[in-house]
Amino acid sequence: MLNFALVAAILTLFFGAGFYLNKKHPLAGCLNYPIAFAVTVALIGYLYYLSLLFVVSYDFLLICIILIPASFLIPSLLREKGLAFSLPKCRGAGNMLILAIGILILTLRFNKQLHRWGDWDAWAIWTLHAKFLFYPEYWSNMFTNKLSGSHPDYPLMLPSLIAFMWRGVGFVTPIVPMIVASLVCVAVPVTLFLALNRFDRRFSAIFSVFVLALDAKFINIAGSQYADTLVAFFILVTFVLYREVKNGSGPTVVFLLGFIAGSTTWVKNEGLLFFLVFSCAFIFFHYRRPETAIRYLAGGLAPVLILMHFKVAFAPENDLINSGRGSDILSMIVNPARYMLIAKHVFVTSINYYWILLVLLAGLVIQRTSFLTTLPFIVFALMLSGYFVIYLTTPNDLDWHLGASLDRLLHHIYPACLYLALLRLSSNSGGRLNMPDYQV
Amino acid sequence: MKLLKIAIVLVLSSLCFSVLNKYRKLTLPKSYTEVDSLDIMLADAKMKLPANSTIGFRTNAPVGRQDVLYFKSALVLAPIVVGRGENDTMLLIQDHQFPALPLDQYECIHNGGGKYLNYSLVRIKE
Repeated sequence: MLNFALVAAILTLFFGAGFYLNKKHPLAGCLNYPIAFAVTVALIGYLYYLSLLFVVSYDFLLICIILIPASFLIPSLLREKGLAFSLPKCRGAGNMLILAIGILILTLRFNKQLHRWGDWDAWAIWTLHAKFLFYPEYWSNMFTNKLSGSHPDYPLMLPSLIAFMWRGVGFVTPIVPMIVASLVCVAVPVTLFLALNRFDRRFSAIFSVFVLALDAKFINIAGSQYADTLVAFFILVTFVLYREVKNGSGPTVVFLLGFIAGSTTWVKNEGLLFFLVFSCAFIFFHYRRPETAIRYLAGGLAPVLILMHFKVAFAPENDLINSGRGSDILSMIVNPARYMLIAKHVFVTSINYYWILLVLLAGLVIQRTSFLTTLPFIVFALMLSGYFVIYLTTPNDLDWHLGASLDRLLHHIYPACLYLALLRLSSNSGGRLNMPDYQV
Repeated sequence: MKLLKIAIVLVLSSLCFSVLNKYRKLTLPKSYTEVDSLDIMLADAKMKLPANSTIGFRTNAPVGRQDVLYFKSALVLAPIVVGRGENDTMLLIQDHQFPALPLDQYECIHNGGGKYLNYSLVRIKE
């Protein structure tokens, strides 16, 4: 019975968010559904955590999740007399076929990577945290320094999502983290495709899907069942929404932009850096439109408050911040060998795994497209600077730290960079390197 | 147009089939990983310990493998907190390939084992 209620809750939340977005922002069409997926994931992540915090029973949580969106959906259905009112038509069945083929290739390759309990960080961090959250009476056992190697200070979106589904299923099973990883892995190229297709960049849309479907590194990280692809998805959706805001969408989308950008903080600590940088840049770019900035901040308020409460009330000290290396920092900063090592790792990782972005960046330079003063470029530049500072002052062995995480940090911004670069490359009608426009 | 729609349905059907087939295979015992074998091995230990307890962990495995066994045991036993090092109650995991840990200082509560590993749930002697 609880299984059905779980499925009903997830579907009601997803379609409720999708229908609401279609009503508020009909121009986005099919693109509203990946955004609705992000909203669903974020809301489940928050609501499950809050239900543990306020000792709300799981059954009651499911009822609320079903009833609140349903109270919006049912009157709309009755008013519009049928389901056709808000299922948007995607442009061209040919496009959809190509997208489906791309997703099939991606899924077949992804399935080869998939194994029970995932890779190291999946069972040592994310699924372990989810296992604690599965027990409503004992979930706070996790917040102890005895488990410091498992980083109990990490945000809880992915563990909450997994634990929420385990509770619905009734037992702990490795299938749930695998399903979550599969959905997130598929959501990234689908979002990219629909976001580019929305502006009639059909060739770029198809190109982006096949880049990801054939990218072994992307699939490898997505299949590891870590939270990195979820961060990448939220960062991508943030930039997709930012493009919608730039395109003149309504206040709801601005609020949603704040909510999704804020929700990256609930996925991984790196999301906090992204949210800080993106928010500063967004406010700087919109200081002449205070109502837009206020709506954005209002959207980001709830995620930030939840994160702050978690960090203050529960999370043990972070190993990078509280490693007691105060006097060593100066010697780390003035050591040229550390700079060389970081540069070497960045060069090797970029060339090996993210060369497509370098090619697109070269395309932008050749096209003489001005992108240096755009918000996305500033955000990515500041994020990479932040990562650089963290590596430079890391208390861990630098070579090990870079080898263990640099590819995943670049993975966070990879889909968003792909989206923005392709959008930019294919939008300059007067440019010298125009992408051909695919016609169905 | 109709052909395109049929093609989309075919592609999506094969997508669903490949996903379901993969998940079916992953539920079979031949897909089990070390976490699953530890889960089976430690099933009795879980019953002996209260859910809000904290236990220590030691193993005779070499350094690189100690972390693997520690985190996998922590996952299997959660919400029991498994900390590294000594505690009143300890989980000792012994790999048959390596010299056994001395148990003189401990009083055994429960033990069991599998093909490659065995475990002892012990209490430090008064």
